[in-house]
Amino acid sequence: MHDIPSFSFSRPARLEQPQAVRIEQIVDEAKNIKSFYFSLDADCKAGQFLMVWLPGVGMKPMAVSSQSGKLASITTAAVGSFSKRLFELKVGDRMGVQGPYGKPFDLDAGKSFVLVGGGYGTATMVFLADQLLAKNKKVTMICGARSKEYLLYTDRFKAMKMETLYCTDDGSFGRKGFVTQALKEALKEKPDCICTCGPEPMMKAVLGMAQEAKIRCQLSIERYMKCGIGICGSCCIDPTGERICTEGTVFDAKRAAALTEFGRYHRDGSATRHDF
Amino acid sequence: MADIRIELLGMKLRNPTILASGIVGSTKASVAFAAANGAGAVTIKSVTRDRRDGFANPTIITFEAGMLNAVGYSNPGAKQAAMEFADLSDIPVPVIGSLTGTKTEDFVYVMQQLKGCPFAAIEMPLSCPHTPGFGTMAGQHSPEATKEITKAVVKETKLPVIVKLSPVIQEIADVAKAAEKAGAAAINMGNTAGPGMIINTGLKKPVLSGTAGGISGPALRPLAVRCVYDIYKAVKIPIIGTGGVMTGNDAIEMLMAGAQAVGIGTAIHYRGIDVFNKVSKEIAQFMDQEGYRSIKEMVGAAHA
Repeated sequence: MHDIPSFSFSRPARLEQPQAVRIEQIVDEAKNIKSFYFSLDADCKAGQFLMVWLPGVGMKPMAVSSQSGKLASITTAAVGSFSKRLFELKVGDRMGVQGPYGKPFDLDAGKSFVLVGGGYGTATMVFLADQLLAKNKKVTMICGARSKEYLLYTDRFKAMKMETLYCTDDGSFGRKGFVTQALKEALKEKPDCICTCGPEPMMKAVLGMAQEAKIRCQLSIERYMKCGIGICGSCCIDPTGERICTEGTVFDAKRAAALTEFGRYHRDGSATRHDF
Repeated sequence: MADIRIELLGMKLRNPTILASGIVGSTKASVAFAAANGAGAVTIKSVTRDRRDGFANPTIITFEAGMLNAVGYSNPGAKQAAMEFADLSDIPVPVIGSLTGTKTEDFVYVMQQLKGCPFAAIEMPLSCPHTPGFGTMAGQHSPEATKEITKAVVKETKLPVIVKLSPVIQEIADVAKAAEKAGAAAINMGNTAGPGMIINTGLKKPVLSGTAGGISGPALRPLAVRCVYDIYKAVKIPIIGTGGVMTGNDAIEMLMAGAQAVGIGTAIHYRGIDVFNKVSKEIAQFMDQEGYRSIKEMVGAAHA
């Protein structure tokens, strides 16, 4: 007879280790920006990220930019030493992939959505649009970039049943100016929810507009990460100490507004603070 | 209802669970988050003299029976850390500072820098298994080195000093005795074991960028329990039992081996950040069922 209470916990079946995957397809998205497609044995949701491992180089969190069946993708720009090495890979080469991690966007936050993507944050937004449209939601996409050659997924957007508004800083494509101007107009339609991912000053401006218009808002926030599984603490954000990898990446307006560091500063791998 | 409060080194803890060093802990907010989720006390991530980025990723992975990590003491350095932890008044539980170094002078330097921080105690690992220049890779776990470093830090502070030992030391009692003799107020038993290695067969490479890392979680627990048991017989100072504590029953096992409190780290991955609340609840449930009224009654019970 067992009269001692037994305490158990369900251990996740998945091991948090990179799995070797073969690159199936590489797509040139824009100047210096590519998508890498590979087969993944897990279901990803928009707002989640994968850890991508290049042995001897490093491992970085990267937003999931699509998933269709087992075929998933990440999109990245060749900016640092890691992504430059990633860009040297060819179809058929292997890399390590671990995850997905993070709390995703709530797809049931309403019937009509406005998505605001800036720069590489558009990777998260295009995947979110895929998932929202699959649930028959009304989607308006606003995406911004420095200039025409940096705009992402223009062909993919064309094939999607939604309105897409492009904004470039130099006016080389779409309207000239910031995404916030386009958002102002889109808000006249009174959408149920705004979702955003991109540079933090942009997201902060979007958050402010959403709060002023009293429209629900979800933001995917990024911070430096090491482990991705809630242990190392690199991505803990002030003042709550919430882990972007675990309690994030997606925060609703109220939780995001409580983050004193949001839009102001971030920390690097040694936890040293840097202002935006 | 069982009383799970304890007193340890003059600290009053609402329960015997302590956030172990190295799990979150680089910022005040991150330890406050563990406190908000039930930790009885929290330990910051170890601070070194200068800023360190640590190992490149991957740094932390899991396997069937726990976790393997080689983070490499990433931290912003003693001066920055002193600013980060200067005011702890809004953290509702005792905060334990943690410092480390490659030389005895570095331990002393970091202690001096952290003097203004209102920590309740100071912990120092002499036992990291995977960072060159530190812990077991630098011989800091020998009785002689343990004595030298402990003495130097104890001289520098009025706070109780906790020495964190390695479970891979065979003559663990001798090292614990050396720490006690040198003025340590408590032993944390202890650090991760190993180092161990995991190789990805598809990519033909060790996964951790540091190649080898410390083993924690369920695989470590029997080793840590035995070390606590051995040390309990050898020293009079209190022991914090750390290594693989996932449940209330695991915590009680540590207490019965001789620990007065338990460190929790890896379990955060398996049971969430509120593992401190969960384990505390389970400890109380066990005590109610078995008729224990205080934690003290269980400490060292396996030795009777």
